[in-house]
Amino acid sequence: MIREKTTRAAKSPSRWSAWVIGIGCIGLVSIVARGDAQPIPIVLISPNDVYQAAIGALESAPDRMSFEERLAGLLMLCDGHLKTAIEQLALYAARQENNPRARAMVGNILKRLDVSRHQMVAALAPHLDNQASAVVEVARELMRESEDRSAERPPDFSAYRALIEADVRAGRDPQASLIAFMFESEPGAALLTLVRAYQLRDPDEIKPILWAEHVVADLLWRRRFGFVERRAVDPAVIRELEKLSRHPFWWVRLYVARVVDACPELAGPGLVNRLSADPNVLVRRVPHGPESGE
Amino acid sequence: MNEFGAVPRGGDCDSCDLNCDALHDVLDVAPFVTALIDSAAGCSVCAGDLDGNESVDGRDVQPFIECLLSPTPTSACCLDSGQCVLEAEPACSGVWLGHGTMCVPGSCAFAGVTAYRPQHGTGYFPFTRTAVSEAHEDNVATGPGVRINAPGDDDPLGEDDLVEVVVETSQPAIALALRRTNPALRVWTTRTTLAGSEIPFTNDRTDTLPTNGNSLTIWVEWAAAEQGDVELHLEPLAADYSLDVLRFHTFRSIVMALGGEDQAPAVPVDPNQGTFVLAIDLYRQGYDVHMHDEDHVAADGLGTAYAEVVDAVSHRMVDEVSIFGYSHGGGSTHDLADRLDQDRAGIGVFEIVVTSYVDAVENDSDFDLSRELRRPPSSGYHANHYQVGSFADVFLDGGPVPDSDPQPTGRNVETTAWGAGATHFQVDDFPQVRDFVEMNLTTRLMP
Repeated sequence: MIREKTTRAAKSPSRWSAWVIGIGCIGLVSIVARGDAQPIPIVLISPNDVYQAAIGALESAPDRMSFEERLAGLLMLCDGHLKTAIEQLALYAARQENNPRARAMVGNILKRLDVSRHQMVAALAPHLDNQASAVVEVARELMRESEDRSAERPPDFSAYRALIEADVRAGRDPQASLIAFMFESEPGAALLTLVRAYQLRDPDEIKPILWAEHVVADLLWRRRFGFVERRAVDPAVIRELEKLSRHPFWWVRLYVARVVDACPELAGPGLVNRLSADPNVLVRRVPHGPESGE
Repeated sequence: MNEFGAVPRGGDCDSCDLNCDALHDVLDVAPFVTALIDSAAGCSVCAGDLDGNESVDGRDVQPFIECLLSPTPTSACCLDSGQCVLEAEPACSGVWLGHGTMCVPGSCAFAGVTAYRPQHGTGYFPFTRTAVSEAHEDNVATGPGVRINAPGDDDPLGEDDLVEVVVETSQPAIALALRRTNPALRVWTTRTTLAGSEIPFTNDRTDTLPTNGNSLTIWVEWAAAEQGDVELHLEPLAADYSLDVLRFHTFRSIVMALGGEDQAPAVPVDPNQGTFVLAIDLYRQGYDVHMHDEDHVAADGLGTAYAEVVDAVSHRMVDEVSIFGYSHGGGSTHDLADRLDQDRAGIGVFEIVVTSYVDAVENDSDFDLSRELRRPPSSGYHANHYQVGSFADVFLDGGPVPDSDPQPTGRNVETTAWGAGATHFQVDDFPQVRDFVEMNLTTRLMP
């Protein structure tokens, strides 16, 4: 069975309110209707004076001893309230975006809190929709770190998968901005992660997506390691992208949009125009090269 | 001709030069006597008629004697050897500098060329327009470097592989030309090689340069897909000597400089951003240096810095790479080297010759505080400087890295007299650190 989530009719504010309230530590609940009637929640972090003062006090500690005392106090405050602590640290860092020393302090506190990857992502993913762009940037930075990527290994999306899977299993719409964030990071890994997170069960539904990703990944691999020219085009790739661009899942089409954004030469005739007119705003928003006029 | 069939005299006709050799000397005496006695026509219409009465007679004798006794009017004349001699204009076989000019040191070097260090994108930023000094302009290593501009070369911000050269002359009336020693070098009047703006060479020499008054800006391109060097001579069109010469070499190496958190390349450079201070110093010495914010390198090594190196190796025949960075830029140095090493099969043949960390911190995010203790993969030589973090620098620090200079794991600057008590925020600014990196880079890497 094909499950289409966010390309349905706009959700009602009450539905979004319930989702946003569930996040915790969020001060304002709001809905913005975009041009395509797809609501995007506005998320805020209300400053908690106790936390903000405690973090600020660390930065102004006059000596090592008082620093350690204040840090111990902050860690006690955070005990049992990890999510709140992470959000307040993110807010503090966002307010100090041009102060590397303050941001290093936040990094230090997070290190001492011994936050796991899953805890970090669970606390920060909602803030990909934060009203304050500086908070969004902090959330993105810390979440990227949680991916633990390097030249030697692909990003680890397990924490994202867990969140999305929980939503899907509970019948909620997964956070669209989180999915978009994954595709920005690594489209192939994001696609494969979402096949699992969306709980697909039918091999006939899974295989076409897996195969298409494999064909594309194979060409990119051959390009990367010099078996073909860096801009080589394989007709099989164009065919697979064409097929996926008509897929009912918006996140599958988002994969196509991201691949074509990075490699415009892989777009078959008409593909760019179709993506530019996609019913999903996140698919439409990805620049698709010259054909789209963006 | 006038009604008498004579060519009017005056102008440049020299009545004292009876044999038309452009000199006034004893060899003019016999023809003068012949003209006086026989009223024979001389070598020119005015020959012997010193008083200008259209006949050679006794009234011309006294002026002729005075003429012989006075010096022939001469001016500076530059010979093909570049030597300056005083000659009358007709006798000057080289470039005559004009009436009343004298030979003084440098007379014949009346025009010159100045080359500039390489461009970046749409101009020179984050460097400033930097002239190659006279002392270096004909040096094959430290002289003007030019990037190979072969087909396929990627210039996402616009053509920047051409080198700016300014021709200046104090004698705008004298036509100038260029001569090259290698046809791979092409010359344009536009930085983007607009159609119709190329200055053509015939047998490796141009025709008259289209100078505008006292100067002309030209753009030099290396258009062949091979390494090499070339001399570009500025010459007077009418003579065969070099007024000035530039010796271009193609870049064999590329240097990547990665700043620390909150450090971005800027003009003027912040003197407290030691990585970029060093980068500019190397740029002035003739290296193809690229300064980057550390976030231009993602945790998996990809990004604009990676793309620059790949393009250099793949399309500009560069085969030596150097990367250095401070703080998170040190972490990015590792990540970039790691990616380049992984992707060798798809990039081409190159060596990562020199790398350097200064208090390197891993750079998986702006908040990553892990010490970068991994040696950059495949680096031929690695230098490492670090300090031990403390309350004063929010515990930011690098640390010992295997097989690093000074051996075995680099230098904790706090163990030195000059670096005692250093914090993370100071360590990149020590001249001792910069000098160490610079010396070890320049002795291992040619531009």
